[in-house]
Amino acid sequence: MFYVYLISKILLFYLLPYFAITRKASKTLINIKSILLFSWLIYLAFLTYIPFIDYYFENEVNIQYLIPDYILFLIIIIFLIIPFGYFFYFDKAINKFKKLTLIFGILFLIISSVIIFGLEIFNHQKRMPLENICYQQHSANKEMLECCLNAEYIWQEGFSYLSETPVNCKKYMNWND
Amino acid sequence: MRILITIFIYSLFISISYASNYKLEKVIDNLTKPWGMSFINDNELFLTQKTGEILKINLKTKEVINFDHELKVVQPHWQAGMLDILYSNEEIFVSYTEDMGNDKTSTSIARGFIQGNELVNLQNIFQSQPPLWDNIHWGSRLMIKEDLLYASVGERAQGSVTQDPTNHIGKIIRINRDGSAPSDNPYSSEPDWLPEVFQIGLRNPQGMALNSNDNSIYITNHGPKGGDFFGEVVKGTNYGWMDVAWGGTDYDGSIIGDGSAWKEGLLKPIYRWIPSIAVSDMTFYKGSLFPELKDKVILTSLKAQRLISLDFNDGKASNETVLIEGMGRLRDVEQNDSGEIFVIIDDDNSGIWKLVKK
Repeated sequence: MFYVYLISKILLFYLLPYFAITRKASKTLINIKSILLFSWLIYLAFLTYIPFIDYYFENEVNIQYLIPDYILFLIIIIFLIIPFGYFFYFDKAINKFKKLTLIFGILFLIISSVIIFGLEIFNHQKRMPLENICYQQHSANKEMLECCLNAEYIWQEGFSYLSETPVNCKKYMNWND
Repeated sequence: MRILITIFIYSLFISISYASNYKLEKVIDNLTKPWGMSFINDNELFLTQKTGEILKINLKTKEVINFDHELKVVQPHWQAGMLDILYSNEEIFVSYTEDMGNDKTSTSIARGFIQGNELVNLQNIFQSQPPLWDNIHWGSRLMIKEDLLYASVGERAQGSVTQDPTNHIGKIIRINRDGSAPSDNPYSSEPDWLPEVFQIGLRNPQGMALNSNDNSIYITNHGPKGGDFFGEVVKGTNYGWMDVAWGGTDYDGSIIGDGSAWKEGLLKPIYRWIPSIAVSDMTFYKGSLFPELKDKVILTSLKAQRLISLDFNDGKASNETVLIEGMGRLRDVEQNDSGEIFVIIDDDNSGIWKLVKK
């Protein structure tokens, strides 16, 4: 299922700008071309943002604590602004420097997709053995298995959460007793 | 989206710190990256700064004496520098990152003698073998029990090397005051163990304390991503790094070993923190100033920035309580004979803080 989602995301990643570029420009600001382009940029920002944040959350011990919280907040603001910037750039640039923009866009897409989806595949491969432990060791009932699969820390004798433990999962977190 | 909202809400409440019955009161100012403290009496203590200084501080008069020395301390880089200090019978012991040449370093221990306000004859009594390049995971806490010096040596990012008893990496060592190895160390029954090695299989043990109730030494140890623990120092035993990770995983989220927190033949930690809190030093509270803390373990945390108490009875720890939170990365906690509790914070602009009731 992971790979079905992944392929869908990759298709979306590549096809949205393609559809946007191949549609004829309209003089009105709100048209299909603009909506497609805008959706792609939001999607791109979202995809870029998630692995970044995931990375720092996953590595909770040292690295992200070097980043002050206001910087993280700034990152969110930047990712909210960037899509608008991209949108206006592409919207104007496509007409003036069509070929150059296309080459740049394709290169950008290839590099971005390798980084974004490569990271996703890497994380998935690291996660699979942990989930196998859930199925083998912590599947006494459906609730327990669900709790384990949602946990950030999984080992043979237990599991734990990086943030607040869901109330219904607390009864399984007795590894210090 | 859930993560985004969490961060947003968290950033709004960043200035709100934990509320408890205790607070920290600054008693000494202008310290830089303090690492270890050791009390001489109620008002005087020795203190090390990662930048290389050995200081004698009077809490009452605020007098600070900086002792000159010629130890080859590596300038603070990552976790390296001047580390712990221990005062005992007019002698001090310091642990530090020693420059061994060719960019290699070791966890070393030096002993010096106190004569009035002078520190004389500060000489190395131990150098961990082999010297290495990596500048992390030094361990380095010191403790004396029955006139024998116990010291923790971190694993310097070497992983399974801690399982090899023919080096000092990731070990608890036990030596005489002059650095020689006692004849009843494990090597007498385990001929392939180095004479100083007392316990193996640790990662980064940054806390050590003697519990006078059972006359045993206890340590805290940094796990990887998860798996910090509090446990006992037991002769000839193995904590298992990195065959096990005590419930933690590697930093990229992958399994360490087969994902077990413990295996047959290994010593089990007494209490674990998953996720990690970056547990640092600890003390068993014996004073009467805070009767509610009597006989509890008081621990400091770097990452979680907490001062924690744990009930400890019959070898079991429970009832984790946060005494202080959000004051900074708490490096060391010590108590004087009057039962006052002091902490230092790992910061360029630091000092000494006293625990008081609100």
